[in-house]
Amino acid sequence: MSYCVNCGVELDKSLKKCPLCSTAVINPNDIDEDIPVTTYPVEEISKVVRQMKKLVGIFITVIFSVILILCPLCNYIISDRITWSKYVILSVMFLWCCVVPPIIIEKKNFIKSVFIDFISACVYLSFMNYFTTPNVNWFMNISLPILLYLLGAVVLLYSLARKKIKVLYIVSTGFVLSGIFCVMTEYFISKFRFGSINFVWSVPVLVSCVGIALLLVIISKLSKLSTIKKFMHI
Amino acid sequence: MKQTNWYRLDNAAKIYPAVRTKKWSGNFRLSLNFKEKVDPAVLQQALDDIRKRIVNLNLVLRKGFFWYFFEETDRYVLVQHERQSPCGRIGGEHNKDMPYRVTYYNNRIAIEIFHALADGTGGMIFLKSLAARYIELKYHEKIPKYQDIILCESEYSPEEMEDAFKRYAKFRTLKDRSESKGYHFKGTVLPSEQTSVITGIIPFDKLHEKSKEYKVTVTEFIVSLMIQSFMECQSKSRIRKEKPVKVSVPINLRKLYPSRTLRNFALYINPGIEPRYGEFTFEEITEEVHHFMRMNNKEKYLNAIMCKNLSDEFNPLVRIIPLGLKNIALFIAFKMYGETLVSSTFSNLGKVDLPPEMSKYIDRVEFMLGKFMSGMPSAAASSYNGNMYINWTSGFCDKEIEKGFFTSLIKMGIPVKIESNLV
Repeated sequence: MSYCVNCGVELDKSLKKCPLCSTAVINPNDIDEDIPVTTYPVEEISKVVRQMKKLVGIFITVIFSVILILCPLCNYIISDRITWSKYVILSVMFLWCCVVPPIIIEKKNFIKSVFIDFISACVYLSFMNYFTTPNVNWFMNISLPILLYLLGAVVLLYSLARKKIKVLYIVSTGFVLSGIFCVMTEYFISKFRFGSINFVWSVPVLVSCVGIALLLVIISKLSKLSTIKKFMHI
Repeated sequence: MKQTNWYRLDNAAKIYPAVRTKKWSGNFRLSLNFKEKVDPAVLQQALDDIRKRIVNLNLVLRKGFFWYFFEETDRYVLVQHERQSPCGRIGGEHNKDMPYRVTYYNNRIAIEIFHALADGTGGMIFLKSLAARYIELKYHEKIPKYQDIILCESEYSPEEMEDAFKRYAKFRTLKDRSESKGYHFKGTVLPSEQTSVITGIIPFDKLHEKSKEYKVTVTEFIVSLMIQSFMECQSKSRIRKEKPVKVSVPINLRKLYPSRTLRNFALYINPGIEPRYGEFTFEEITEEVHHFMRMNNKEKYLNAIMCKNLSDEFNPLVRIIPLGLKNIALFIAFKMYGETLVSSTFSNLGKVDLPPEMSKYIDRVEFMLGKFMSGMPSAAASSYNGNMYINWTSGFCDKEIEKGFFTSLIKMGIPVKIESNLV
């Protein structure tokens, strides 16, 4: 039995200092006793997992950097200038952006990773466009709108999933979004290639996607009809 | 057992889901210590058994278009090992939107309840019933029918699920709600997932004797001590304009109305002092608190408060606002009129009565409030076996309030034993 010399309260055996005034508990008679059971469980925050993740991140980075150094070197030695290796460099950098940040970011944030992927894909494709066909700007006309749409669609689906909406609703939204995706792709490609807008294959795809989505919504609604009163009570 | 499988939230419950955030929800906790180590498997079985009888323990919170509501579920609820910071946000990975959790640690079992589901009295009935079933299973002891304990074989009564506010509100008059803002303790804030708990164990008879000296009840005595401690803190902090120090005290309405509901049926009154009138001695504080409590703890006044609260709920304009907008409005109202009006809360569950068949296995019974949104230090008490257990929970590292409170008890000659989760 120990008392706080400052406050005068009796202290539980497990306490090493007074919770009220932080004065250390020193009881010469209690030193030999076993470690007492604490009144609440004591938790330790584990840092092992975090360190492991950092190590994996460093490992991948080192391997990628070796490729980044070796490829241009070989390319230069063999053909006296940089030809094919720039594609390798770009692709490896793009791959690194997709793989490493999600591993090492401490707080898992899906949206953040998607944004990093989006930006790296944009950079990758724009450089590819510049290296392969500098006169034809397919990046701005086709790739960027499609990437933007994909980003929006992924963010929308993710936020729906986070809101614990029924899986069937999320799947049907996915169907509608992919239908729209087909129409969009055909729109941009035909506009870029022929200068005119001509829908051939995408519209039937969209119609069937919407049909499937509606079917799914009806299926999930059927099970809900009886609960409308509960959901809408004022 | 089942008549309808969904329930409207009662009047007091409506605010809690609306103001719940990602890291915080308004909870409280009831626990009891056995004389032996708790067997989690038996506890799980006991929980499974009483869930078949107590409807409240099978409810999940769901969103409607206009209001939240509770729905019956057959979702399995696992008992969990206790955490170092008790009463954390309810509704995590383990039990999704189950509005309560059952935990164990060493000799202790605890039930942590989201306030939308029940109040302290209702929660205590859950805990007692769970403990009764646990003792039946573990020690093969036959627990007799005793007071409000619900036994597995007892008959279900729809009254357990009634919204007692609606049943007993008379709508003669509505009470004005205007009140000045109270003093709030400020200090170094703990990380959001941590809660500091300090338990003071006090011999009840000594406390009772002392409060008799001041001619007040034990609750009034403790509230006065709390007010004194907050006042000292305020005067030390040298604020230019001192604010009133008020402590919110829940009043159990089951003592005024013959309801057997297991849901919320309590209202708050806020006794306190106004430092602008000058310095108050402890005797003066006890007098203020005593007369305020006597004056306000009356059926007629409480009914008027109840009617005011219900009238807001019944307002057709309020009712047709979709839930999302309603949540924003309720959150703002909570920020303006919720915790800001008072400096602290003291909830006294009183003496816990158990039949001898149970009390021979049980060492202590405790009541604890979850951390408040503002982190303000607040206390809850229960007495059992000759001791009063006062649990202070707070979101601050600084312990001036708790220290002032317990040292004044020591100075009055009342011994206090302290336990804490901050080793």
